[in-house]
Order: sequence, then structure tokens, then C-alpha cells
Amino acid sequence: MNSNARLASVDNGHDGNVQDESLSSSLSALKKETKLAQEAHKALVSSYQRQLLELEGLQSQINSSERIIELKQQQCVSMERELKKMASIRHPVRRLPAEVLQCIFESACDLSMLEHLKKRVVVAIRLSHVCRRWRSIATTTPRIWNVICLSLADNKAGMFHLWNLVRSRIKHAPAHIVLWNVGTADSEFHLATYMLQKVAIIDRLEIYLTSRTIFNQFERFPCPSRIKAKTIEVHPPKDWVND
Amino acid sequence: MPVLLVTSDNEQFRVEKVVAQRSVLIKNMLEDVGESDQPIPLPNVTAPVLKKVLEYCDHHQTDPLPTGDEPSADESRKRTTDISEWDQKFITVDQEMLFEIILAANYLDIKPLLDVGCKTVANMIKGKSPEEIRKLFNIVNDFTPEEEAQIKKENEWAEDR
Repeated sequence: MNSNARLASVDNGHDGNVQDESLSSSLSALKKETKLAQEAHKALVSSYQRQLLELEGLQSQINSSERIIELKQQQCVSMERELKKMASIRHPVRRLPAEVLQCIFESACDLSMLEHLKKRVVVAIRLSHVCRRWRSIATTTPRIWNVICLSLADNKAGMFHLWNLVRSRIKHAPAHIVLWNVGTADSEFHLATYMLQKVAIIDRLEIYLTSRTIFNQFERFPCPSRIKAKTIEVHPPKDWVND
Repeated sequence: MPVLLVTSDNEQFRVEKVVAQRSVLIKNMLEDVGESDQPIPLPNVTAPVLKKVLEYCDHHQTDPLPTGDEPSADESRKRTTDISEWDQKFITVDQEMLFEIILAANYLDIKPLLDVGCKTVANMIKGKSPEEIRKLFNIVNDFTPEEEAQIKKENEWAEDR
């Protein structure tokens, strides 16, 4: 090997060493960075796990507070129910004797205007739907059931059932019956279905006629057959003068 | 001669005989006992309620006493629709006091006052549904499911008329 070739070889060897050193230093720096990154990652994972644990703890707290809220709400509902019950027990309306409640019921059903007579049974029914005590008193107070309007124009099933109910509650109280639309087609048939002859005492029977012709018939036959009433009032139609 | 009345809470009220005798109970007691200055105990009436009741008796001391004869249906109807202006103002009290007055009037047997109280409660009830009446007087719906079913039917009949 000549001297030139030897020099080149030395140079190459020197460059290689420098390269090695530089690579080695880069590797070392990279390793450091990797280690730092690993540590940072570890710290992040650990922080994540810690926060996850905290979150789980919070979730569990949320669940338990939700259960508490639900429980408290249930307690509130039952306490409200209890309070209502207590208020109901304490309310002086409970201390009213039956005869005083009967007097109140009779006053409440006192709708003397003719157009209100139709509503009277509805008021009595409402009173009997308040509570068991009121129902027991209302259904045994014949005077609140003894006024009823019966229409002979149509024969609805509801009216028939209602009349049977009322009839069973009138008992021996003197009844005031208002027959409405007397003189329409089938009115005699409808009247027969009400079986007024089964009412113990009819104190007052009011008959509202649909035409003057029918009124003239009533002058001759003042009462529908087999119905016994103490007083009978026959009312001609409102426009009978022009009839 | 004044009469001494003692309430359940031990308060004494000295009132004129004519006022006290608006109560049939007191009137009968006075007639049974005769002339006496013995106090009359009223164990079912508290002082605030008796004070109100005596206010009514004082105002109505000259009214004719009810005879006890049953009025006719028409008279009864007319009677039940009227509350005089003074009575109306007198009975404008809270619900608790209203019922206490009714209970006292019933116990003391003061029919016209009982009548005013009953009419007032009746006016409160008129036009209200069962649920509204329950709310008004704190009444609990205690019907069984079977009774509820019957009530539902009765409502349907009342509507279909």
C-alpha cells in the first residue's frame, strides 16, 4: 500500500469514529427522550387511572345520591299522604253529626227553580260520591232524592237506570215529579217504563205538555192512569196562545 | 238577671238571660234549675266560639223563637235560599270557625244559627264536583274499587239523560 492510500484509510477511520460518536450521542439522547416520554406516559396513565378512580367514585356518589333523592321523594309523597290524612282527620267536617250533614245536603240540593230541578239529582249524586260516610248519609236522606224531572220525549238507558236509583233512595219521602215533554210520540210508552205507580207517595206531580190538544185531554183526564198524586199541576206549552 | 256561662277552656261569660235563652239547651237548663246564680258549664264550646255564638244571639235576641213546627215544602225551600245581610257578614269566617259555630249551634240547640251555618256550607258545596268538595274540606276518597266502579256507572247514568 502506498502512502496516499494509507492516508485515505486513516481519514476514513477517523470519519467513522466521528460518525459512531455522533450516532452514539444521538442514540443516547433518543433513549433519554424515550425514557422521558415513557415516564410522562406513565405519569399520564397513572393520572388517568387516578382520575378514572375518582370518576368511578363520583359516579358511585351520584348513584347513591340519586337513590337518596328517590327515597326522600318517596318519603315526601308518603308524608304528604299522611299529612292529608291527618288534616282530613282533624278537619271539623268529620265531627259534624249525620243529622247536620243531612241538613247541609238538603240545603245544597235546594234548587227550586224549574230549570234547576233537572240538576238536583246530579247534586245529590255528587254528594254521594265524595266519600263513604257522605255516601252513606246521602243515600239515606230521601229528601235530597225526592225531586226529579223525567222527560218523555226520549227514553235514554241512562235516565232509566238513574230513575231506578233515585226511586230506591226516595223510599217513603213525598216525591215531587216533573214530567217533561208530555204529548210527544211514544210519551205514554216512556211514561209506562218509569212505573210511577211504584212510588210510595207522590206529593206533587207536574206535567209539562207539548201541545194545546194534549192540554184539552188532560182537562178531561187529569192524571195518567194508575198514578196517585196529592196535587197535580198541568202546564200548557209556553206558546199555547198561538197554538 | 244575667247568666254566667263557663266554656271548656274555663272562660266565664256573663250574659243577659234573654240572650242566653236563644239556646234551647240553656233555656231548658235555666227552667230546670230555676232562679240560680250557679254558673252553667258548656264543656263542648271554647271561649272564641262562644263569643261568636253570643254575638249572634245578642243580635237576634228579639227574633221570635222557632216553634218547632215543620214548615211546608215550599216554605222550607224559601227559607233555605235566604241568608240575611247581617248573618252573611257574621258567618264570613274561616272554615275552622264556621264548622265550630255549626257544632256549637247544634250542641246549644240554636236552630236559626245552625240553619245559617248549614246554608253557608251548602253554598260552598253547590256547583262543585266530588273531587273539588274533597279538596275543599280535606276529605280522603276512601271508596273501595268495587264502590268506585258503581260510582262510575252512576256518573254515566247521570250524564246520559
